[in-house]
Amino acid sequence: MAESDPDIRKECEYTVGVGDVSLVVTIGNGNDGLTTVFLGGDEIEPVPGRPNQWALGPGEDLQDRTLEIDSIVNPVTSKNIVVTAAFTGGPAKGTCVATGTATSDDPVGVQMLVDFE
Amino acid sequence: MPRKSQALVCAAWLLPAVLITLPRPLSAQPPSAAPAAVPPTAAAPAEPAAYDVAVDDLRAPTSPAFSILGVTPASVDRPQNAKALTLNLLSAANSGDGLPKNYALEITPYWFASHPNLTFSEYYSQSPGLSILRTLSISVATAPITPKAPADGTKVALGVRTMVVPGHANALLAQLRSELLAADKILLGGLRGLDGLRHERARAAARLAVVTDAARRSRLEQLIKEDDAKIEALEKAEAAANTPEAIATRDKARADARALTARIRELDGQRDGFMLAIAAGQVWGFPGDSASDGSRTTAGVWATPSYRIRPCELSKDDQLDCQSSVDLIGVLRYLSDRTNKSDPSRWDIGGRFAWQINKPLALSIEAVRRNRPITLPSAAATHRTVMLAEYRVSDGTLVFASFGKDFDNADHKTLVTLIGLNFGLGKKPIIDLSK
Repeated sequence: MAESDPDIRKECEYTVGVGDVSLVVTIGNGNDGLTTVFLGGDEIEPVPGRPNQWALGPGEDLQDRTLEIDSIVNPVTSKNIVVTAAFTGGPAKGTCVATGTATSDDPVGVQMLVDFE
Repeated sequence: MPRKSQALVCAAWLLPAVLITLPRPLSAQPPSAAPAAVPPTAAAPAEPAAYDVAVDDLRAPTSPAFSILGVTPASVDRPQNAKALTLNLLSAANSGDGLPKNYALEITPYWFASHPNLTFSEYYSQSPGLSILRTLSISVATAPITPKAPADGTKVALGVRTMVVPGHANALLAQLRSELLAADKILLGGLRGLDGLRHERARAAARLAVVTDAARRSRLEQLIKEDDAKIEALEKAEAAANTPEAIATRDKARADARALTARIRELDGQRDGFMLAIAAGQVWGFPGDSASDGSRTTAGVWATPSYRIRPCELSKDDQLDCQSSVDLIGVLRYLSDRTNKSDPSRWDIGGRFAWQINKPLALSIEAVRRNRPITLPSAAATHRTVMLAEYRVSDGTLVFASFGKDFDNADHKTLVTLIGLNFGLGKKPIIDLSK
């Protein structure tokens, strides 16, 4: 059973290499919200001064791990919810995009689980 | 920060029956309260009366097609994407013979597509180019040329509106956003990454069943062991943390976030600083619904520059419902009507200075100049200048007084003197009566 019971859920994969992997999460469509990131049950703090960017560490340490990205999106501008997780540091850039529709003004829970290959 | 809906904001000048009259109001009498029920796309004048035009009537309309056509649609199709637009148009085209009658459509093309990189901060960018794109709305409306004889043909109107300069975010936004993110933090604070951990553990177990490389198997076995230990610890922590108090705190945070979201969206329409809205509309008439007989009839262009200052002390919590503001509004409207031989074109230019001193009291002065009177054969320009004071007595009720000079008219009665009560129906006052 899901811990957070998110309104929107998305699973993706990202192939890592030997370089450091970096993550940027963007809440789109002019909406506002917050994001937290967990790896192995530990919360990862964002890069100082950049609340939407995370340094995840060397790619070789991430292989076989799963990153959990939890966002709360407030539909202040659009009922169309879109959250993008953009990864760099692997052989290629990668994105994971979660989309959905808010049916009210309630905050929308968005969860992305990213498997590192 | 819940607020009552602004739906009740539209207050009205009450009918003469409740007016406490000084001298009999000569002109500029407030229009009657809005009709209780307006039939779909009922024909209605584009302005309250030919010579009773105030600054608010000259602002760039939200839906120029409806305004230039003089209709108040009971329902408007507002498709959110290209597919829905196509379906709506096909449905309208198939709903009857010839052109669809009494049809109204409004679209904002920018929002047809998703904008994953448009952050909240970028949404409030003041770039004119981006603002024009984001706020561009296109309206289309149809109505019978003769309301009671649809067979006479159809009028079709097309309108566009956009904010060239959107203004900057309302001064209250930063405080509300801070409260919103605090509520979000509480909601996220209940998470511990258990979903990802369980997913990782299950995936490692599945891989272990197929992987043969010894080093990889050892790594996966170690990962499973670590994950099992963490899952057990986090499940205990989660159970311990899910107290009734914690659940109540999250429920309150969710309710706060909901209310703040609505308030922030509302404030998007109440920006501060300089703003410029422009709109244009065009009507074509199709007698007998014949495309070959179609011709342009009416056209209009509006420009509405405005400047708002909100002198609130935002450091004080009790100022979040700040009602004090100073507004300077300019209006320019040009109308052309080829079907009106005696008055084929006219323009109005004017402005208003409105000072809401505090929640209950507002003062304003407005002036409008038009190229010639509507009800006189004179070709000389005429103007209307009116001062207005409003005092809110209670929720939904205010006292108002106005004094000034109206446009020249056939009765030569141009003095405006009026004191009355407004009970929250019809025309919008400066003061918000809903809160």
